[in-house]
Parts: sequence; structure tokens; C-alpha cells
Amino acid sequence: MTTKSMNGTAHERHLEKPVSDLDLMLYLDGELSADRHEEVRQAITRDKVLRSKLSALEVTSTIIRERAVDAAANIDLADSVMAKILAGDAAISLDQRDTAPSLEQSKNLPAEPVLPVRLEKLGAKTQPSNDNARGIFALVALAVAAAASFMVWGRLAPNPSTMANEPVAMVTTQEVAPAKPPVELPAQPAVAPDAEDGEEEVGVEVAAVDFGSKVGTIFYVPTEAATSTHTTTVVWLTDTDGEEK
Amino acid sequence: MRLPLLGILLLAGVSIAPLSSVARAENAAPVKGAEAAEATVSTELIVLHGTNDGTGIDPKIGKMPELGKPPFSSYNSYKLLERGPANASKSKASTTKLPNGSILQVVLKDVIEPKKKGEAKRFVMSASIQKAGGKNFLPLLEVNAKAGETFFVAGQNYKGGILVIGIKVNP
Repeated sequence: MTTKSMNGTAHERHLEKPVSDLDLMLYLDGELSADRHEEVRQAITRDKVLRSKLSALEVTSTIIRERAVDAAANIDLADSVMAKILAGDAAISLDQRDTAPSLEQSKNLPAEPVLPVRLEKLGAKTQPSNDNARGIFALVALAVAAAASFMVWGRLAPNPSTMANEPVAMVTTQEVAPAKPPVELPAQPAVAPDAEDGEEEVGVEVAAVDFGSKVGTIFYVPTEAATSTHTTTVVWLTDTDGEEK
Repeated sequence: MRLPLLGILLLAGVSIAPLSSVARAENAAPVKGAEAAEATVSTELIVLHGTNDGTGIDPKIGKMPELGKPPFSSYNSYKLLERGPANASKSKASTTKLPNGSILQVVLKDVIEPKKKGEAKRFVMSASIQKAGGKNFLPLLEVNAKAGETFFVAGQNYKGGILVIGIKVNP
């Protein structure tokens, strides 16, 4: 643009456009044209507010970039494994000495591992244009993961309505049964086969017993004559609590 | 873009896997509950008071030769306190208040069909005794009995002696 001064001399004056926030971001990302980059640089040098904005943008960009690198590093591990499986780059061959299978890497693999290359790419400041988007997606992924975890946790928690429908058969006492293992039952006396019909007379069998804090014994008392093999089962406990009134 | 999407898909897979197993467990529960409502067993309850007062065995008790043998023989006298029927089923426990205030519960847990023809089926029953104060005297006794067989639980202190509880499975 051409202007005239009061003394009539004309000179060209380049009017600078005001520096917007977008300009600052583009400046930080190195995506401005050379002329505009210089203009913004000078404006930043002059303006304290612009300097503050730029430093804030730098801090934000650094945080997002670091988070993107962390999230991508976790995902890249599975990604690289899946890529290897899909590429079929591992082959199993038998060792001739002991015929044990051994894993060989394919010779077609690239010389550099996949993971470091991708991390370098993510962490490079020379190409930061895609880092913001990756950071946002990484944060979204973290939020979804947290929501999924809460959902699973909520589903696995005991359901009070289900607990109420439990059979009442086992709710026989208010005290919690001791956690100790069931008492080993004494061996029932050997039952000889009946002389007449050859069948065994098995009395009442004790399947399980919990004496709690009491001392108890299981007796198998013969019911009739000494020659009879039939027994009556008696569970005898020692009452140490004193007599009930 | 590809990386977060892969992460979301992996998380979705992890989330769905345990939920499917929980759903299977919930579906299996009602079948068991329907079976439990069927069987009932009739039992006879007999409560004796064993002492050493020298009065001997109460004739009302009837023929019970076990009372003269150990461990019953540690008391020389037995008196009949109660005798009565009690029905126990899988869905409902038989609850009886004993002379000393304790509560006896008898539950039918299962009926085992005989393996051979002509054999009697067996009843899996559980019994527990809770004292009047809420304390457990016998937390759990689970037995396997045929019809006509009796089993005893003894030892509670009562009026200078003990209580002897007999539970007979009626045919």
C-alpha cells in the first residue's frame, strides 16, 4: 500500500495483519509461510500478551503430545504383535538334535523394530500437525476404558435381589459357621454281610458335621444283640455353656 | 485414528466376556429352585431327659435297647419329655422348640433313589440346634438315612441332666 507523508514523500508501508490465536498455533506448528512467520515472530517479540499465549500453547501441546506417546506406546505393542502374526513372519522349525520346536524369525523382517520407529515419529517435534488429533483420540480411548471398567465392576457386584432368593434351607442359625474344615468322621464299624440274605445293613450315615465351638463325638451304637451289625448313630456334644433357664 | 479405535475394540471385548458367563449362571438358577419344592419327608421327633436320679428308663419310651449302652449308659435314668411328628421338606424347614428353649431345625436336603430294585431310598437330612440366646449348639449335622432309621443328638444341659433328641424317618 502506498501512502504519502506530510512532506509529500511517498513510501510503501506494509500493514501487518493482527496476530490471531490460529496464527499462533500455526506458528508453533511451523506451518506458516515464511513472510507470515516472520511477521508473527516480530509481533510476539513486541507484544507481551502474545508471548504469554504462545507459552501457554506450548505447554498444552507438550502435555497432549506426551499423553499421545504413552497411549500409543501401549497400543503399538499389540499392534506390532498382530502385524507379525498377520504377516506370518514367524516360522516354527524342529531342532534336529532334540526335535523340540524352536521359533525362528523370518529373514524378511525389516532391520529396525517397529516400535521404536513409531515412537520416534510420534515424539518428533518437526511434524507435530497430527499429534493433537492423536492426543484427543487417546484421551477418548482412556475415557471409554474407564466407563467400561465401571460397567463391568457394577455388573459383577452381588445383586441384593438375587441374594434374597437363596433357599432358606441353609439359613438355620444366626452365627456364621466357622471356616475350619469339616470334622473328620470316625470310621463306621465294618458291617458284615447279613448271614441270611447277604446284604449289608448300613445305618444312618453322617455326611457332614460342624460342632462349632463344642467338642463332639459320633457313636455308632449297636441296636440289638451283640451279633447284630445294625447300629444307631448318636452325635454327642459336650455342653460347656451351662444350663439354660 | 487407528490406534484408539483398536484400543476401544479390545476393551469392548474384555468387557463383554465376563458378562456372558454371568448371564449363563443366572439362567441356570431357576431350574434348581423348581426341583427343590417337591419332596417332603415325615419324621418323628422324640425328646428324652437323661439323668442319674435312679428312676430308670421311662416305660413310655418303648423299646430302645441303645439306652443301656455307651454313651447313653453314662446316665441311668431316661424320661420321655416329648414325642411328635414333624414334616420336613426341601423348601420348608421343620422347626421345633425344645424344652430348654433351644430351636431344632430339620431340613430335607435330597432324596436318593435306590440303585438296585427292592432297595429303600435314602433321605439326606440336615439338622441344627440354636440355643435360646442365639448361640449355636449344633451348627450343622447332615445325615443320610433310610425310612425307619433313627439318629440321635445328645448333650445339651437340662435340669441336672442332658437332653437326648431322636429323629426317626418315617416310612
